[in-house]
Amino acid sequence: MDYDDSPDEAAFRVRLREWLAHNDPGPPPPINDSAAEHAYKRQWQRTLYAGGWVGLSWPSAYGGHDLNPIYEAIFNEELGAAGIAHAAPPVGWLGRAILAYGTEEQRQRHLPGLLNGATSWCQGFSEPGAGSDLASLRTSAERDGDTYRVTGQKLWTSGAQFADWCLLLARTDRDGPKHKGITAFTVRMDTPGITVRPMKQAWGGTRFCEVFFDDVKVPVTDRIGDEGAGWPLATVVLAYERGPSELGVIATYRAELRTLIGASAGDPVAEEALARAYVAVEACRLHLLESLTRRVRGEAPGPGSSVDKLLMIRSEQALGSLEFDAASVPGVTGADASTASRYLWSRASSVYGGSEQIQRNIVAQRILGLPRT
Amino acid sequence: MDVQFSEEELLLRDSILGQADKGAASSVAALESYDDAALWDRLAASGALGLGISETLGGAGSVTDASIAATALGRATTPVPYLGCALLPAHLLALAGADPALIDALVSGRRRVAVGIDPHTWAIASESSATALAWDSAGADAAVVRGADGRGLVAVAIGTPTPGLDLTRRVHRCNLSRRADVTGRPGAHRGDLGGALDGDAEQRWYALTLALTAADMVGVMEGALALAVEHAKTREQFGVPIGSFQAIQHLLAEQHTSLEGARSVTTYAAWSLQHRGLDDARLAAHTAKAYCADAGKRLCEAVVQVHGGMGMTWECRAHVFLKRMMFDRTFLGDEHLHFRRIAELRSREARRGL
Repeated sequence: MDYDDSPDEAAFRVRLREWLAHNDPGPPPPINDSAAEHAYKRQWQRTLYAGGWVGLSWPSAYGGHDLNPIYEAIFNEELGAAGIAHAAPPVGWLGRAILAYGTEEQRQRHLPGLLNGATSWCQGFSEPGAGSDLASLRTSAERDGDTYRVTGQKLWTSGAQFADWCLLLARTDRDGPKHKGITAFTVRMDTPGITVRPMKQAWGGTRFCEVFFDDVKVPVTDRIGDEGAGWPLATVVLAYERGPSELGVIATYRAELRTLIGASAGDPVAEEALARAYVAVEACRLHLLESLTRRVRGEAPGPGSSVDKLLMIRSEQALGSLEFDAASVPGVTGADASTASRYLWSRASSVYGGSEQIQRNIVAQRILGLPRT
Repeated sequence: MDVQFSEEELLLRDSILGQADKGAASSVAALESYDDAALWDRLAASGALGLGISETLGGAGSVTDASIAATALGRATTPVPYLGCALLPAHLLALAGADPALIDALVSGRRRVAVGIDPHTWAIASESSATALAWDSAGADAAVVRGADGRGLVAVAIGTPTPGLDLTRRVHRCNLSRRADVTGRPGAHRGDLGGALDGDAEQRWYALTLALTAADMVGVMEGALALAVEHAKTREQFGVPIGSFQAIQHLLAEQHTSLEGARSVTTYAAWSLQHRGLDDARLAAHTAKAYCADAGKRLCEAVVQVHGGMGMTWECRAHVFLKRMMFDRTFLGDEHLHFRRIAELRSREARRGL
């Protein structure tokens, strides 16, 4: 058991602190201005990439740094300590699928741009009829010579209006078991037949969209993995998405916890609530370090990442509520719209990436071994 | 960073779990008339009673090892006063620089002495306190408290036992007006243990006690959850195991999540005591105790619930876990007290940072 930095980790931390002191990205735009938010994040990703801080645990062949995943945790901790709530850009989980299932040509084509921020991506998984029951998705891809013809609708697709590429799941076989007939593709978002309609969210922003595919032609060379291999690929993507490491949430939480100390001072009820949130974040942070250590040992994320996700939801929602309570009346009058938006967004954490209820099913059945109905 | 137990640490855990299983009471009824002497001797022979104490004082291993052992014994709700009559008094004497002969007697299992605690302030009691309780004091014939002069430590006699809630631990009153002769020193110096407990040493002992109590609670959570999961797999209603119902699955998945969080904060708290400054170690210890008190109570209550009517009966072990949890949770304050301490420590830290 060792929570101390190795000499290399300590040197990395010092170098990072020095760099952060001169490269603060400034305050983020309001959460309800999604275009400004996207531009801010993209610029921050490019700045970080230029500084050599993106893709720390990725192979250098694709623009990464060949470091172990613990460095991602150090990176997030230091951002939080510097009060920078915007952590590592979420380059991780889509890229992991291409890394695991793509051909060498596909990796070379997509991964460098994904890391350096040259290309933006969205994830075409969920559909109107396929949310928690993702495997029942109906968007179809019919083989036609050297192309597939894709028709269907995706929903809750984050950042689709800004994306250059989509990692798409579509059905190539309607007859067999529903998990077996799904195939993954990379699709250029400017392909004729694609329509993106941003959706206004409860907090006023447009973080996610509806995406319509009307006989969209996708070259066979843009299929990722074999026909029917889409489900295990999706499982990899979701397991990485659930691990908070790529989300950089710890940086956000630490920065927020610091800010809230002043807001709660002298009010015993608020102080206890903040201490509770601090304890929840510590559990999330320390559990994550254990999960990352397992990754360093070469274990891929499995059902255990659902525990990370559940601990993350507790932290996220505790903080969202606390900030709203601290803002009090201005949160309701609209004078403090950003805190109200932050609170509403915190409610999404128990839905995106697989709902809290799905995570509990995974823990109950795959970790505790309780019988399926 | 390498945040996983080493092979040696895992071997220690398996060894203590094995000893606990071998010495376990076979039923709730057997717990009530349990004789812990054989298990106590085996724990002493394996060196478990001196974990985290320096080798020059007869100890071995780290505080992390002590935490691992406490969790293993908690998991089996083992009825031995491992913390109360070995680790906690031995560490207190070591931190105060008090009588090394008594430390040696404690870690070798030759003698059981508890620590007297003032139940109103949770401070270490002194001879001039109004009352003192010796927690987890089965078989103890003396309790360590501060001398009336407030500096050195002394041994006082153990008084009457309380009826007690936890079937696996005992609480005695201390007889503060009578010194206990644990050192063979006659006359006016009877019971003098020497040493001096300054503020930092007391804070360190307090943090250690919180961290090790939390470690016991993690073990209780592990054992209780395993009991409920097993029950949910075998108990049938409506023609199927109740564990196939989502209401039960989600209740238990939530408890598993809490257990994982509890284990993470507790492991860090034990490690911090030897690798971080006192302020950080204190914050980590309060964090562990607060988390385990809050989550552990809810977990043990859920375990009773999953057992349904059986959970209300004396034979079912669910109440053994719940009672040990309530014992640990109460000792040195429940989560509300520790949330308050966390708030104080963090705002002090923030003021210093400005």
